[in-house]
Amino acid sequence: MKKTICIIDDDAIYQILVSKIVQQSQIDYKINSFKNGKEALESFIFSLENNIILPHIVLLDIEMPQMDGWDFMERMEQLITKYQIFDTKIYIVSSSISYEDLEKSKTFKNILGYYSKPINSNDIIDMIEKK
Amino acid sequence: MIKNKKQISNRFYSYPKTIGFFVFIIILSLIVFVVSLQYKMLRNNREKEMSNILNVVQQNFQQIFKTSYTATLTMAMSINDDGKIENFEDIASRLIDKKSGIDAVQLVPNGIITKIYPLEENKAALNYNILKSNYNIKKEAEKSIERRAIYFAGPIKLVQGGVGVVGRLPVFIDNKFWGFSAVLIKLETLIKNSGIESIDKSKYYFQFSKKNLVTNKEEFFLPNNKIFSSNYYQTVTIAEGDWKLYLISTKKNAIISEVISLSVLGLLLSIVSGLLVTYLLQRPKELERLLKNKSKKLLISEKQYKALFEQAPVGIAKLDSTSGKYLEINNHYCSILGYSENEMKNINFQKIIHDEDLADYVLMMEKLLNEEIATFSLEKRFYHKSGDIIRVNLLIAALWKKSKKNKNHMIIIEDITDKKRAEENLKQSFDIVTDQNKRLLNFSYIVSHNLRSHTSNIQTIADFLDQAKSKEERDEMIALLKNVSESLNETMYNLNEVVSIRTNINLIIEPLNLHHYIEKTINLLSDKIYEKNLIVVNAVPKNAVVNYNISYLESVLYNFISNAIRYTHSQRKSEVNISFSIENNILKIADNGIGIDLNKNGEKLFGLYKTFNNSPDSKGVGLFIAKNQIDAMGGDVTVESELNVGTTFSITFK
Repeated sequence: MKKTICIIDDDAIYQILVSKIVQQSQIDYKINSFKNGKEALESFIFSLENNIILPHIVLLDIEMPQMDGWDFMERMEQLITKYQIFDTKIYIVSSSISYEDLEKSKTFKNILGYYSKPINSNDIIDMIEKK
Repeated sequence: MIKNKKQISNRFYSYPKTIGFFVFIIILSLIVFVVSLQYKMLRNNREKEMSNILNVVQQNFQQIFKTSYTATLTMAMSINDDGKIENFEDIASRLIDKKSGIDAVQLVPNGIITKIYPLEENKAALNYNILKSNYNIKKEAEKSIERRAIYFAGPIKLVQGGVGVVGRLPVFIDNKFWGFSAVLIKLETLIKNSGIESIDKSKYYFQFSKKNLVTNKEEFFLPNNKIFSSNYYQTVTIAEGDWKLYLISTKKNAIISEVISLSVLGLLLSIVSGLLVTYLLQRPKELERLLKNKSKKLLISEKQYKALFEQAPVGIAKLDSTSGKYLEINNHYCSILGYSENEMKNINFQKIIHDEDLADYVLMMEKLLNEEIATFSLEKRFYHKSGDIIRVNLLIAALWKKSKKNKNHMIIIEDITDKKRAEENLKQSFDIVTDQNKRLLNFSYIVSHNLRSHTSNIQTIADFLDQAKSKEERDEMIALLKNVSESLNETMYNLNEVVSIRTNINLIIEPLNLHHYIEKTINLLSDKIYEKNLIVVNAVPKNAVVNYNISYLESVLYNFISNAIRYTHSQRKSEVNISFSIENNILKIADNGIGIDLNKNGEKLFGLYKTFNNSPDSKGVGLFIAKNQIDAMGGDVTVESELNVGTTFSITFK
């Protein structure tokens, strides 16, 4: 089964562009996108309840309508603890370059890294290879 | 009268040295008088005593002379008419005894000592012719012949030795000089019998003298032959021997020395009295001076207090703590509260305190009266006479000493209304500045964030364009680029709108019918309302009018009502209730939707946190713009919400 990269971002163009980058990178991943935290969370919960495997890589934006990145992470950490999830790597990919956001991302132990947009294929490969 | 008396006493007290001097003079003259009296008395006493002594001595002399006269007469009896001496020894022996005080008797016919008794010790004088002896003796002998009476010669140096006096009685027979019948008295015998030796020798001594008939000089016979003319003395003359008897005071100035000690004592007494009086008089003067100083100081400090009280830039009042009555009020106190002094005094202090501020004042005042505290200060609101509320710093201090019955306290009030107002204004401006700063920061964050999201996309697209191998790929990227530019344009437009609200000052404000504008908004949103099967109730009175800018009112209503419609609860019939209270000018928009977690998102609600591109359904900018418009109109918006129950926005119109 193909591994999945999940994009949680309200910017449709960004979603398209990341898909293109993944294609170019010649890695065997498929893309799964949500336009806000709430949609992604609902999908994840559904997957966990139905024993569907979660995406391997999550690219999470911060500013989103309905549920932003931080709210999503709070709920996600609960799920990680509850379901003992080990093989989902979550990265912040945001257009924000503010120091506060970088620092805040470090308070979540399940966030593996912080990337400022734009990202390229090397960044994606780094994310995959990171342990 | 009393004043006069006081003046006199004042004058009396003010010249202590003069008064002291007078006292000295008075006592001194008194002493001088007493001393002079004493002196006179002592002198009289001495004179009397001395004349008494002299009298006694004189009488003794008279006695001796009488005896001597008798003896010479008796001896003369032994001479018969022929001038022959008979029974001399017989008679003489009877005359010479111890009592008589006569040492020897002689018969001296024609100046020749023929008979002498007792013979033995006087043998040397026998046959001595006195009329042919030295001139003085001869002269004296002749004198007794001349006087035809007994006459004592001497004292002379005797031929047989010693000094003595010789009393010679000239004997005449038939009126013809025969010779002398004489007695010899030795000087020591004479002195012994005269009583001279028995006087108090410490006080007086005797001297006696005779004029030398030859030299006519006074000769002194007693051994204490001092010069005594400066001493006091009395004299008596004894005619039988031409003697002068002196009684002389031993001490030169006995009386004076006796009086001098008294005078010195008196002088000392008067000096001491004078000084004492001066000192005693000076004490009240000193006290008076101290009193004057003290009262002067008191006067100054009272003046200072008065000046402080009247001119202090704070209101000061003194009150009777039990009755609450004013005792003293300064002008400033009255002017702060707007009353005249008389009006002020008739107003209970508690009446001027703002009702809401009274409780803790009463509490503190109780503590003060119970002596738990001595002073307290509070910030209070007071009623001015005009009814305005003024703000004061109130300081109250107890003026009584512990456990005293009469209790007064002092009130000091400082008008801090202006200060307070300035403080509030300052705080308001500070809040505004803080708020604006926050918004500005927020705004810059949003700007950077939104613009960056576009630029990062453009950057990525540019990379792809670079690497594009086919025309299709390139076209695809250019299409994406167009999308980005549209989003960017929209972002710029929204940002511009936000900025324009903040910079718009000269807005047209006009009375607007609220009900009408709400209906208009509902019509605008009717598609969505229909779609979600909502009930929107416009309960705003038809005559409700607000003064607002038209486009702001439309924007505010649109944003809040569309927000209420947006987050409907999926499990119940959704309702939006719009009501307006004319009294408070508050518009309420209440929904029964999903609600907002205000703890988590309250801060974000009116903030520009959400991105507003690419998501037509929830442009986060709506409420942010509406809030800014309400602020610009001088109103306010608050929110109440409960999760899964609903949200109510309250918009206050100015």
